[in-house]
Amino acid sequence: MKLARTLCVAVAMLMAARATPAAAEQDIRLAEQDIKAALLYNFLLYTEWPPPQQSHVIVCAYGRDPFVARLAPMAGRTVNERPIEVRSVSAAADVNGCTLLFINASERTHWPELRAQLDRASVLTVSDFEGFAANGGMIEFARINNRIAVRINAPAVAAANLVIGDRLLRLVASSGGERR
Amino acid sequence: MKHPPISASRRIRRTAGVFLGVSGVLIGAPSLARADDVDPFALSPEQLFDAKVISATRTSEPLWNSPAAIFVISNEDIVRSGVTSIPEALRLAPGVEVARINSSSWAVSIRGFNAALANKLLVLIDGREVYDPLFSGVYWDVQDVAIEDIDRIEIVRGPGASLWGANAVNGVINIITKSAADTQGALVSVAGGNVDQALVTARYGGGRAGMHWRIYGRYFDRASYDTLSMGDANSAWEQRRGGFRIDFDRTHDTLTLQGDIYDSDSGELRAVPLLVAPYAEIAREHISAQGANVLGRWTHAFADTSSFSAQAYVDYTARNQIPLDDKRTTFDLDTQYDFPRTDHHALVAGLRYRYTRDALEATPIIFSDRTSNSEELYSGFVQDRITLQPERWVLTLGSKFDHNDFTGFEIQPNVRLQWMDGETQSVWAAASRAVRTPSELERDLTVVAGVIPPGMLPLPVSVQPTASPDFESEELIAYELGYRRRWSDSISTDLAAFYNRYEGLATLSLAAPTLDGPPLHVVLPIAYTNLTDGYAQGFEATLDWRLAPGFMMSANYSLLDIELDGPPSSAAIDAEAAEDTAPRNLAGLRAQWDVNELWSLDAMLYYTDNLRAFRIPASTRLDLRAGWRMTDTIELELIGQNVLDDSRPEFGDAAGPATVAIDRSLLVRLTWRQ
Repeated sequence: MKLARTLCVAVAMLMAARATPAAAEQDIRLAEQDIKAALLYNFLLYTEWPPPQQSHVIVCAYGRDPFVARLAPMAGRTVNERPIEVRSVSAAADVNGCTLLFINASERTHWPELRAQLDRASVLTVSDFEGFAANGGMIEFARINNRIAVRINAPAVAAANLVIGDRLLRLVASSGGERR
Repeated sequence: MKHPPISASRRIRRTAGVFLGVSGVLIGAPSLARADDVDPFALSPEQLFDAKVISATRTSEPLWNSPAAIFVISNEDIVRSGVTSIPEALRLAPGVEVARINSSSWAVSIRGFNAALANKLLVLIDGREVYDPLFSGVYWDVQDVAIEDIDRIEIVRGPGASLWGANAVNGVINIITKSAADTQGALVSVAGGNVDQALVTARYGGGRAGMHWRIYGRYFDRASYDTLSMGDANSAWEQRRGGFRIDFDRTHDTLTLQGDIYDSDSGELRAVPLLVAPYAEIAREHISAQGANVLGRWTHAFADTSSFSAQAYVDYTARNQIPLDDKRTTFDLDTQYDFPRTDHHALVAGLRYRYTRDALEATPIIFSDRTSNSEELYSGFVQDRITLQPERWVLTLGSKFDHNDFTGFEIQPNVRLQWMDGETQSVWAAASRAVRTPSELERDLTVVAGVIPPGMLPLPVSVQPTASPDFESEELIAYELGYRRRWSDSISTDLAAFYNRYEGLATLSLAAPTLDGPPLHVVLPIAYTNLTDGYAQGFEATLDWRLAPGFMMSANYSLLDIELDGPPSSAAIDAEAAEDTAPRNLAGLRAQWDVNELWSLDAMLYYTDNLRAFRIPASTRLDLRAGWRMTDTIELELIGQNVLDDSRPEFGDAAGPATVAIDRSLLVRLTWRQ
């Protein structure tokens, strides 16, 4: 019950009707991994990190079948004029230097270790394993009605001194997602 | 404005997802592939949340809406089951009968008619057909890849002939390896045990944006088993294998090049017929097999949502054993065009050409007037997936049109209707026609199957299945019904029932005996005829239950009932034998448990009903696996297979002295990934 109380799970699940008119016409279809990679980029755009900030935005992928190949096009883009660097990490000790950490679902057994290592570090954590947001993770990808949705664990985000922008949160809210 | 980027590529490899009508950037295809020139990084969050997913790597979700009995074995399933070969991995799927004959040989089939070279099953590895046209079957001993690089194995129970063509009669097994982008870095896996004595796989992948590659090498040495009462089975098995894959990814085009090369040495005990006493001798047969293949696949996406793909491969196989010395080269070109989509139609069509030629050296056991034989296949298919009511009713119509050198034109149509209720439940029904075309053996070759010692007759009798140019295709009309239901986020079920009506099944009919010599003997020719009809019916049920985030259970059960009607034993040999060569009841129970961040445990329990034809009793098999992550890069696994029995035969006459008993297998595997 404590877990349930501390967890603000919000589900973004936008139907075609709620999308922008252009998107509705286009009926965009993408590979799941591409959607997730692009959403990670958007998380960078719409999240505020506390100062001091590193010269680069470091996107880390933790997992033995790295997601890195799909993140590669992100390198070279910038966030607030800071270039993005994509890294593949395999040691827990390396994660504190990340701006955003994506944990491959196959690595879910490592999450407790990573979570302990991160403590309250200002690293935006994202994963696609079920139960991630309920276990201290910040953003969990889910798949609902053949679309990618996210669950946001607001207390965990706040505890790390991060602020997720209104634009993302509105998407969650407009989908009728639960916010407490 | 750009058109919707839906049709990145349905992948000429025609994964089972084609039934879906969603375009198949189903994994395994270069997975960076996506449609048109939409850059996902340029999309707004609104658009991304609204985008429909056209592929998934972890679950069979894209298959949820396919109007066919489809099961997917994922990479994780394979690794966590502890299996070390493709046929052993197939035990994980419901309704697939897997029986190990000896170290290097398996009988694998779906919905009955099992045999060492089961002929009603089509098997593909990355779009390359591995069904051998000489015997109409699959040599499982040479179908191997780096197990760790398999993305998934899709199994279609029931006919897939409308898409895959002749011989996809009772099922299709589609083995799909990961794209090079998903196998970056190094992997070394080393295993050893009492059965898999040494097993080493090494892979390395590299690349940059737009181009990824990998190479792999694999070696194993597997122990021989023992026969029931003749000692060592002579089936020790050694194999060397290597290969590569390169995936290029451009905005509108994807290109894959891949190839493999292998060399295998195994053996068995073979009763070689003799025309003089003792009329048969047991030989310690050496089986030598080599092969190489190279495949290219290109897909181009047009701006109007249509796409074109082409796949070509050359496959060389050589096999040398006592009855057989055959070298075969196959060239296969397959093309596919996905028409621009409309609201109601997803139309796809394709053309295919296949040329295969073999050089068969006559042996005293198998011979033919010809030593070289080539065959051509011309084929086309068309399929339309018609949305009658969006997200509710979908009708799929399609047919394959083949022309082969033996039986001429073959038309294999199917119709599938599906009703969906969101993602909670779906009902589908299908009717299809499929054929199994004659093998070269049946049409062109003569085999000395055995010699009956003098007794009732004063002379020995040589029994010889003989080239039968009049033998025609076996025909199946199949009716299927399926129901899928997602009861909650954690429980789902899948049911499929079938009624298969067969006509003209291969029958070994006795022909008029002749005298031959020296030494003087009677030749009893056996002609392949199409005189057996019959039906098979049954169902498969699966239940998936995720009890907790780290704990999964699944259960499956399948029932099979085959009734055949063929000529009596005075006119044919065992015309109705297939009634009793496949288990009537099959069941499986599986648990996957992530104990903590370091340990994982897996258990698989399989029940296989008795095989009456071989007097093999029903059996229960238990496989266990424990995995321990020693460090971030090293995993140690302890694997036990068939742990409940010291040894027991799975296929072949249970009273036969040369029948091989399959031992309990214990294995330690160390995997390093970087």
